[in-house]
Amino acid sequence: MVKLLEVIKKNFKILIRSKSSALIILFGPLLLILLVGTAFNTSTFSAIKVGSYSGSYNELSNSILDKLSQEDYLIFKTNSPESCIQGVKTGAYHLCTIIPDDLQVSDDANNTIDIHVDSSRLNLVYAVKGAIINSLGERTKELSQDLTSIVVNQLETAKSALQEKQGVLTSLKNTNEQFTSGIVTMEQSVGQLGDSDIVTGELKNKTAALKAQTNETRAFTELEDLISVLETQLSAVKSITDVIPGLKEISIAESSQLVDLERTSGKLITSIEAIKVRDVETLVSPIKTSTQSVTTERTHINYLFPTLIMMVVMFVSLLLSSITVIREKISPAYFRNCISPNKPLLFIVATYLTNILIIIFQLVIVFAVMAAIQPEILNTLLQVSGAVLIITSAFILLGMIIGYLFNSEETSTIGAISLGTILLFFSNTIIPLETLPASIQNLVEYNMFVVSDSLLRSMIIFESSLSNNVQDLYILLGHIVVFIIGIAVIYKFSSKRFNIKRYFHK
Amino acid sequence: MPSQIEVKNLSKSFGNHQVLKNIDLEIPSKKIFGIIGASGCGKTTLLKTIIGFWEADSGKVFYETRELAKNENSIRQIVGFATQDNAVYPKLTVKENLEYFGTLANVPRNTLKSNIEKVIRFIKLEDAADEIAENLSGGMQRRLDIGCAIIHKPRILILDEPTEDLDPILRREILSLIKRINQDETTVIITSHLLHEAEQLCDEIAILHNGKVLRKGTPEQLRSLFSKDDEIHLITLKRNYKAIADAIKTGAVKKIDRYSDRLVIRSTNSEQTVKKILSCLNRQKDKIVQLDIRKPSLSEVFINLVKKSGETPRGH
Repeated sequence: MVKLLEVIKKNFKILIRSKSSALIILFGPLLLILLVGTAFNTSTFSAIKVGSYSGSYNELSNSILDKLSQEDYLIFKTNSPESCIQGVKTGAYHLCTIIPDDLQVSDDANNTIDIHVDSSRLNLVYAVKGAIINSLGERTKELSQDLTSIVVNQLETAKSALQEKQGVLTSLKNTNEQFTSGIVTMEQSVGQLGDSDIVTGELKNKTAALKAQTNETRAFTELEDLISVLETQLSAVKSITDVIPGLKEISIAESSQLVDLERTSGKLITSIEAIKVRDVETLVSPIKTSTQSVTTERTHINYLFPTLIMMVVMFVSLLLSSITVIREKISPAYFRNCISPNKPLLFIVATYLTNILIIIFQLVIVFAVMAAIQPEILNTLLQVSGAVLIITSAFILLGMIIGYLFNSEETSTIGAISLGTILLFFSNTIIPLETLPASIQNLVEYNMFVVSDSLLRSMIIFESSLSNNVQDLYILLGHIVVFIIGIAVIYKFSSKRFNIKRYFHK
Repeated sequence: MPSQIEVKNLSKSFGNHQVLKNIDLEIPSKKIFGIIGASGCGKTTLLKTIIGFWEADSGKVFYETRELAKNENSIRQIVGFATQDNAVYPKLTVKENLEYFGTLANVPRNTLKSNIEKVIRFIKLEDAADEIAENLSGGMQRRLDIGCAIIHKPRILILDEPTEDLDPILRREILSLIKRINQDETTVIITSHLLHEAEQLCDEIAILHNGKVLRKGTPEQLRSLFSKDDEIHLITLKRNYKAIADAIKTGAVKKIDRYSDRLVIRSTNSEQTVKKILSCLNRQKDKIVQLDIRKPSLSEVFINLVKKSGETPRGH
């Protein structure tokens, strides 16, 4: 134990007395957290540059661009569609929108806005495309709402008018029915008049008979005049009787049409009333989508924190441990350690402990800063610390293997950075793993960075416990066992191989 | 004299290159034992193999009758090793280096402090005890390296070319330090390609050439083994060496070399040759400035042995 402490003490002294190393150890994580914190402490995109071209901007196209401007997009109007697209290629704009000349909302007008994006910027393209389509969608929705509200309003007006005229229609129908009934009565009454010619004939005959019996000529003449008037009037009534069937027929037909009209009007009102959705908002977006985050709404730094921790842990562990090992190896004093009456395990354990203490120190700084930003992290701090310890151990051991394998600080550093980059590249940090072929995906699931990142995300963002992430822990512990065996094998051979080279260089 | 270290039939190869070939050595206790040879002859490999840093391909090493392979840690406890590269941590101070290597060598905590003070005094670094090692001069660093090797009071101290790259003054300091260590009854094994240095310092010497021990013995024995001839070094006032050479060239004289200021004569009978020289000088009325009669130097022994072996030194 005394020896172990002495070796660790020595490692720390050497590290601290090298000014550059001390600076990196103390200020590296602070600088990192400061930069990342400042850069990602937002929840939106900012300074997204949008190139735009239209042969003729009008009120509608300008309103779309204004909408984008209000959402902090930087709009650049270009002189031609080519320069707009070229701007995306050169990186001057994140995307380019080609708006049709005099954009109009009508059936026969071209109202398609083309969006050009640089698909090679995988990490940005989906997010920016989604964001701009959302913004454009909002404007489209506004326009759609205006149009739909006109239709809905007209429909409402028509319904009201129909309802209003429904009474008139009923009154008309009733009047018509009375009219028909009157005609029928009149027809029947006229029918009861019988044959007027016979009656008037009989009346004339009787009058003539009576006139013959009396000498009162004057009275009979007046009577005959009255009969003649009656005949004329009966003739007039008779002529009306001829019209009555026609009138009756028309009245019945009118009555039928009025009933039909009333029925149609009723149906229209019923149909209009049967339209359940009359809200413009609902008509424009009949199905609404709402993305509910399973976590509380936070800024980018909160979501990035597990990945940030992983980046710090991975790169610092790989680099620091490989450099510690290689510096020890190239130190002239290394030989004296090798011939001291001690087992190699002492130096391996001391190197591991030195590195883990340094990284713990760095993580304390990072966690302290993070706790200030996101105090709820303190709830899971103990569990997260346990996970970080296991993750850090795995990466330190891997870094030590690199140190034992390589023969110079330069190659070791390149090796550590390359390995870190490979692990980072085959993780969700740069591109989604789902974009990889299934066979590689299966392999990448065991990538230490992926496993560790998933473990930390689960613990920090979803506040789950270590016991809920047993599978990830087993994978990491498996790595650790393999690395320990690897170090035991490599330590023996690399130290001797390295010295052989020195021997031949002499 | 009982041997403290016994090397039996030791061989070591790196790839296809055999560096040590069936080495047999017996290193006596409490003496200074030198291993001399040209650069690349296998001196460092031999030392690193007998300390167990390299695993031997064949052969065995015994320390005080204990076999190294079976008792590596306990043997390392009694051995100190100083390399030619100054095996110390440049970023640690003199004291910190001694404390670190002392702790690694199992020096008890209660005696470590006093050991450090003694060693610092011994290697004469009292004024630089708290100095960072990288700020020390070359000689001081070498002394610190030796200090680290003796912090645990080893019974055997192995020094790999301890005077390499040092100026004559520093070299003298180190040689004096080695002698003082040996006076403390520590067996010292030292390698060097500076033969005159080994000749002055060592009680016994092994000549190593291309991985083989050509000869072993005291410097005197080695010189005698090679030749019973004497070397006469003569400097005269008039420096008329041609006449002298003509006068002595027959009889016991085997070889005459004329240098700018002196005449070196190899003779099987130095007394007879000196008489002839004096007679000649008398005739020429010349006077002697310097006259030495000595055995051939170790360098000459070495060169002749190498020539005799018929193998060119590796790297030459």
